[in-house]
Amino acid sequence: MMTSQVKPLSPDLDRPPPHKVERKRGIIVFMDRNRRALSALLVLAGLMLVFILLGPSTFLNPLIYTAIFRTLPIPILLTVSLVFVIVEGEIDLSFGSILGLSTWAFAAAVASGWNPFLSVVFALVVGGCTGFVNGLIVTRLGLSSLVSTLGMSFLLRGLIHVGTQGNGISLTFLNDTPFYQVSVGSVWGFPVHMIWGLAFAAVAMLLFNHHRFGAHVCCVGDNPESSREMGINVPRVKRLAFIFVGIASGMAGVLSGLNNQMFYPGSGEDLLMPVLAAAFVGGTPTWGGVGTVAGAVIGACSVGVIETGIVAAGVSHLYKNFFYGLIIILAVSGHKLNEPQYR
Amino acid sequence: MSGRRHGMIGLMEKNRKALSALLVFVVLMLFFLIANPKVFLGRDIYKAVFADLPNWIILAVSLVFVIAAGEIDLSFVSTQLLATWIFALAVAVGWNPFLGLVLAVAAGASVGWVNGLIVTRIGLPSLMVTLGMNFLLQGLVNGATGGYGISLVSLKGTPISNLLVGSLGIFPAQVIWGLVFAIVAMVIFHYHRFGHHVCCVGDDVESAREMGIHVGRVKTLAFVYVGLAAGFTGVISDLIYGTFWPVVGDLGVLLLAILASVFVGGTPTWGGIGTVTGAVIGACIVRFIQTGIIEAGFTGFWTQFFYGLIIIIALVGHKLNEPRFR
Repeated sequence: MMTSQVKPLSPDLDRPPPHKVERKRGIIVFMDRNRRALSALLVLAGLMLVFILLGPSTFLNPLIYTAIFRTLPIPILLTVSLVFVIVEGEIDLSFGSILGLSTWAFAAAVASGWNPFLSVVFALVVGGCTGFVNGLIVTRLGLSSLVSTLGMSFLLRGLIHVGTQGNGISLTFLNDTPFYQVSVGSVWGFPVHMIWGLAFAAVAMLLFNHHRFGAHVCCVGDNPESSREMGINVPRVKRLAFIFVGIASGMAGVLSGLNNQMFYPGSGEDLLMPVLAAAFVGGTPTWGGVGTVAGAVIGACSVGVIETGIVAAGVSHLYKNFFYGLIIILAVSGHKLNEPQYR
Repeated sequence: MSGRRHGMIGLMEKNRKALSALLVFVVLMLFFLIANPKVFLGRDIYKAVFADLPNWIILAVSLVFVIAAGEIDLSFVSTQLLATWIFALAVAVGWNPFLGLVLAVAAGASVGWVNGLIVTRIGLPSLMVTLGMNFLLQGLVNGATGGYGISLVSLKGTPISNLLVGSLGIFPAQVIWGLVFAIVAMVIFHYHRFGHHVCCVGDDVESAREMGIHVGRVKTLAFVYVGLAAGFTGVISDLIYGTFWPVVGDLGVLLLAILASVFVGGTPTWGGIGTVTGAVIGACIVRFIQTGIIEAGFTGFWTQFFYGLIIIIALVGHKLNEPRFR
């Protein structure tokens, strides 16, 4: 018995561990653990530096940041929630349409005289339910999430067009109400919805890095089979992540409706590509198992400043997409080179 | 003995996915016929659909290779845009339009080659790379043209226009090109070594490598193939519309609709298997929805709704149809 080499469960205290694990401390650990987010930050810093050098009068003026912060929370909400779905090895392409649907739900509810706070809850419920349906399709029917959420994206957008007959709903009557001040007003010139976006990101960061749910999401994305054997309810974790995207889209929908002071049937349509780009620029790879919420916030900022930045730098806005593409490819290559053990 | 069945049953087993896509198409057309017999028994609707259906078919068919190889290409609409621009430039400069065609196709193929190189050499995921490339090319064309179009009306009635998009009785000539392209792709996919290599690579990269397949080359070639197809369709669309237009609003919708065609046709996302015939039928389904919905008496608002419905129903159908679907 003693000669047998494999003694799986007996604590072998005398023998030194095969590899001495040296735990690094302090700043090095922090940098190692947040490698992806930090390299995303490097991209953002580089971008800002270039923009400040090329358009100092614009980018040293605080007004430009107020302008950027008015629209930034929406991609931040979406990108952060998308990290969960991408990390668990799935993808959601329907968030733009969920956003449209929730904005519609919110606008219709408010326009028919509901309390605005109740309408927000309604919009979040609509978003969450749609995410739940996405999750059910993926986990129960076993369809690939890429295709089924592509289908859902078309389906929901069609539903919006049919339901509204192409008509928008004006929300200008909410201006200057207390509700408006709390959600998209401004505190000393700083847009309140940016605070909401950052608060959501902070909650998501806690969920992802310190809550069991985040750990489960990473396990499921890393290896569904072994997570199942570890006792994780894989379909439930997957559904929850889709619901999370739905709720985030609902919240983004309310904010975008209020920010634009109206709901229009195409709202959210043009967000699909930039938000996906933001997630990738932020350092969350496509293959699941790893990801970073902080990186996603930084990625959303990078993508958000590009458009303003290139115009301020004196380049035609028609080149906007060119720079989007360039930044995506450069950032993704950078993440790749930065992490030799990248899976 | 593996028990190979022959004849009708064997044919049906082998083309199971394509046949179920065909079933969806037949049901769809029956629905349209019943909803509006006058239009769907007439010629004009088919003439209208067949104008740009071949482009959809050519793109969808080429995508089957990339998807079966376990990768994805989201940049083909922008590659197409680049090709339309290059062809228009060549014509505007006064070069022979056939040279323009060659240049446009070569440009498309080069984009595919660059995509392939980035994916195989640097090892980045194709989803991210081609998403980036899609933005990059679109921005490049928008920026370089300053948003101005180029008229190509002067090409009407010239040999290249007659050859590529002329009229053959009730059908436009591009239908022939679409069919030729689809048949060549079918032969390559099912009977040529390249098609087998693509499926092997998509099924299991490691074992494909051990079998001696040059994985990088096969993947790169698949991307080049998509680029070629996008270049060719770019020239055709230039000739159909008689103009080059840099800012195409619904580039995103076209991208998603053509991707949807491949999946509705029965090619799954996970690589290793695919069907070219299915992709042709998938393209017909999605393209006919676009026109048919209106003719069937629905407003245009319903189009996207039916896109989504058909995608999900077709996927569920494919799933149920094949219990051993991987």
